Amino acid sequence: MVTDELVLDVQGLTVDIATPRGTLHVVRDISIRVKRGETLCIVGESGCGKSITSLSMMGLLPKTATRHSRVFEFLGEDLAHASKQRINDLRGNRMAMIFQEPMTALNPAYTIGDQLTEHYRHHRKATAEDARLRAVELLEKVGIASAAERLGQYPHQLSGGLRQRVMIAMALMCGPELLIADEPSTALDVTIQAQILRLLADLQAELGIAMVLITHDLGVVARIADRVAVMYAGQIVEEGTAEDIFAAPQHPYTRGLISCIPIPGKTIPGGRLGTIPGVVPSLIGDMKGCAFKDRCEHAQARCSETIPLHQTPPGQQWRCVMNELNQTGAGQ
Amino acid sequence: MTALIETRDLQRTFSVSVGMFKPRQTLHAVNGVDLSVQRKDVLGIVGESGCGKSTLARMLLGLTPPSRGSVLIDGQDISKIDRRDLARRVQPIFQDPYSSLNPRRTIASIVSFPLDVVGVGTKSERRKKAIEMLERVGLPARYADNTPGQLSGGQRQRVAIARALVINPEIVICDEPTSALDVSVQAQILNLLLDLRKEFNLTYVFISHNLAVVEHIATQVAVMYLGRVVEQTQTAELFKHPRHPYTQALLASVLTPEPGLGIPDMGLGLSFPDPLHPPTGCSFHPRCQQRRPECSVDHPHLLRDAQGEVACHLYPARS
Amino acid sequence: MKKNMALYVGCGLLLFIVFCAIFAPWLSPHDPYVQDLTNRTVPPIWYEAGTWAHPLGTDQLGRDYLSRLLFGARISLLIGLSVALISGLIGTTMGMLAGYFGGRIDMFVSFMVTTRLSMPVILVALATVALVGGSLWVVIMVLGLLKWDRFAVVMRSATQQVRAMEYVSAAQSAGASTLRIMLTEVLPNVLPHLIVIATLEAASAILLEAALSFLGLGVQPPLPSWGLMISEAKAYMFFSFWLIAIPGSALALLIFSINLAGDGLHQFFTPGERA
Repeated sequence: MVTDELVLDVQGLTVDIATPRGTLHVVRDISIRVKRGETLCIVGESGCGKSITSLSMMGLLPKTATRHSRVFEFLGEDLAHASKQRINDLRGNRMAMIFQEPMTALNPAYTIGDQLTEHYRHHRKATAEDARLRAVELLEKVGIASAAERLGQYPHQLSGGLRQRVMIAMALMCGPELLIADEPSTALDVTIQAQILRLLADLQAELGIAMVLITHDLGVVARIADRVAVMYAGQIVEEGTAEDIFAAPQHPYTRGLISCIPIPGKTIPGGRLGTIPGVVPSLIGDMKGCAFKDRCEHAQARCSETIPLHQTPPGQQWRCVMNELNQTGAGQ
Repeated sequence: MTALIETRDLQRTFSVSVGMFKPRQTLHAVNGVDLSVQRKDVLGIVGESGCGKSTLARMLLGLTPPSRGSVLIDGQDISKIDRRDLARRVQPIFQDPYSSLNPRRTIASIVSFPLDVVGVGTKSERRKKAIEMLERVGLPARYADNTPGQLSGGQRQRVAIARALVINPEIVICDEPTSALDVSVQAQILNLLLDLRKEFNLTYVFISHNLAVVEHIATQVAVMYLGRVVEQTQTAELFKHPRHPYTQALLASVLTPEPGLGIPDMGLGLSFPDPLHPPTGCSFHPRCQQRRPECSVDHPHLLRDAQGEVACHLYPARS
Repeated sequence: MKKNMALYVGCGLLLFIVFCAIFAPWLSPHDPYVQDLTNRTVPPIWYEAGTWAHPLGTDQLGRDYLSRLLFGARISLLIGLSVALISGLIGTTMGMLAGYFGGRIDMFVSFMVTTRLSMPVILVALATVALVGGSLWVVIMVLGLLKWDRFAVVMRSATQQVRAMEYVSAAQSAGASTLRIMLTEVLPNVLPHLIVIATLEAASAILLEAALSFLGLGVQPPLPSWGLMISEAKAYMFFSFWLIAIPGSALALLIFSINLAGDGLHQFFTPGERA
């Protein structure tokens, strides 16, 4: 159930990374707002900046990155200027993250039990016994049978799907209010993928947490998202509810992306799939106007200037010179 | 009509070490596979990890010899075909565009390599052919002297396709050719593969875990699970009337970009397919919603009928 | 690129030493073998008693030290190069075969490496030289036949990594013979590792020869091997300190430059530098 309470409020987030070839404008002025109980999916292809966005929200950016934001609040608390100590207190505790590769995200040298209880004991100052009980409780919640025995096992003794469940349990140990999942099911088999996503959706409904799910898979987005943000070249080019985005995509990139995907029963087998010609532009240097203009069939002179933001209630918005009637009219 | 490429009871086992002081265990990667592909067809092979599809691909290419059974091309066992003649008939396209091209070679030399090995024409003729093929797959001639490191994933995959086709093979074994690519690039590559199939009269064996892609490109589909083919039939038939419970679960897991449908619960449970410790009887039974007592005891026989093939106790084969 | 100072400085120094060695006959003021017993242990130019006739002084037999130093560079470089070549050839072949084919060949090569590692190089070299007699070529052969182990180990693992690449499978599918694949697909991609190990082994060989010569079991007098020069200067250590310091510093400089160049090459070949 999506409530009205805003858990994460990020506005005007910009991340630059210094490289030998120049400054990489990885994330350019994006805004993300997630309410309690809501699932926001950030979807985009490789290089769009979605992973860096999730890392910047958790304060896990590399040293070469600089971050600016107009607003960066977690449950009303300002994080943009918070001390490192405060961020450490929140991370793993009230804000948790799940990564893509369960094999590398879990430390092979420690047991599942050790890794599960570590954060809990640190943040909640709990005793070993309390932490152990909580770990068993959560392993059962994520659907792992014989949870007590599993605590003594090492990551390599578990399958990929089980490891991901353990990761989810780990993230939930301290009862976070925000969960960020970066491609949580991409490295898993198709049948396991569905199970993990279903688990995440069920847990979210039960615990009422806010979830930000990052993926490149539009199918996942359609099935699990309340709201969708489409990223391209560091910007959010379109945002709206899942129904709106798929029923009436407004931005040419979103339309192009949806037309690329074969749907059994809908696309004609052996027919031509839609494509997006060209390649992603370089993120170095001055980026004026729309980053998609070199690949867009509707590109025109206005696309090299500031791009207006269009909105249709109740909350679909996109950055394009064309409005919902596909006209490039005056004003917005 | 003789199939262009077929396998007969194809098997491949590996001896795997499971620990310092434990005896080696046998891994049945491919456990008795019968396939048959007619000329100009596209056989899609779908399955998840541990099903043996990559080992199967290597055996079809002649890279890994089978432990038992055989691969036949136009009725001829490929182990008896000279490797260069085999190269002229079957070529691969692999999954990872970053490891399928030699980083120290130029693009033109990568594409002309099959021609160099066989010794077709002069050096400049081979280069010319290579560049023609590059342009045909959508890569302009100016890339000919670049190295792979300067190309994107989609461009590299085009180079891999050009290399596979430059020698005019009849069969192309595609092992997850689009799985590592972005969605927009995947669409371009799939369109290209379909065009080239028409133009060069190619036959594909297309291996993938992505059912939507397989539905789009394949004429026939074989579903693999733990080394065996559990169902095989025409594509449209498989997607409309899947018979094997695993096929049904696979199809239900495909998350199409259609909002409002939610995520189905296929009731597969927590057990996962472990090729080192396959279950007794039907290897799918621990995860099967429709299992019966005989499923954990006997291995199901393959039923061949007008609809296709299926190996499941729900569809008992006669004799 | 301004980042890779190691490569520039190392290669620069090394080239300087190679230059000195190559042009030794023209750069040396005197013949390194000519003795002048009237001018024994003349100090170098920065001492009061030094003269420009012998900028680095003379040794205990009156031979010009600068000339001996320059000709000595030839010996050290020759040793480094030949040993690296011989041991590199042996070790790379073994390593690549083991890495490419695995199985029994791998087991055999691993056994050979383990056997070789159980032998202390210096002692075996000493024993061999004691039996056969010391000379420049004996030293080169002995070291070359002993120092291939690191090549084998590194090239084996590098080859294994390349073997798993799909472009090797593609080359096999194109019908290429194993030899062709090893030479055109595998070798160019393991070359960086080879070059780095070669520099390290060359440096180590030079030091070993100096040690052997110091013990009298390497190069024989009157050849101006730096190790031998240090050994001969032992007795004069407290009176004519430069007799030890000069070849010692030269040796240190050479080893330093080779290691620095090797380090720079390693940096150069590590992915992440290129586009």
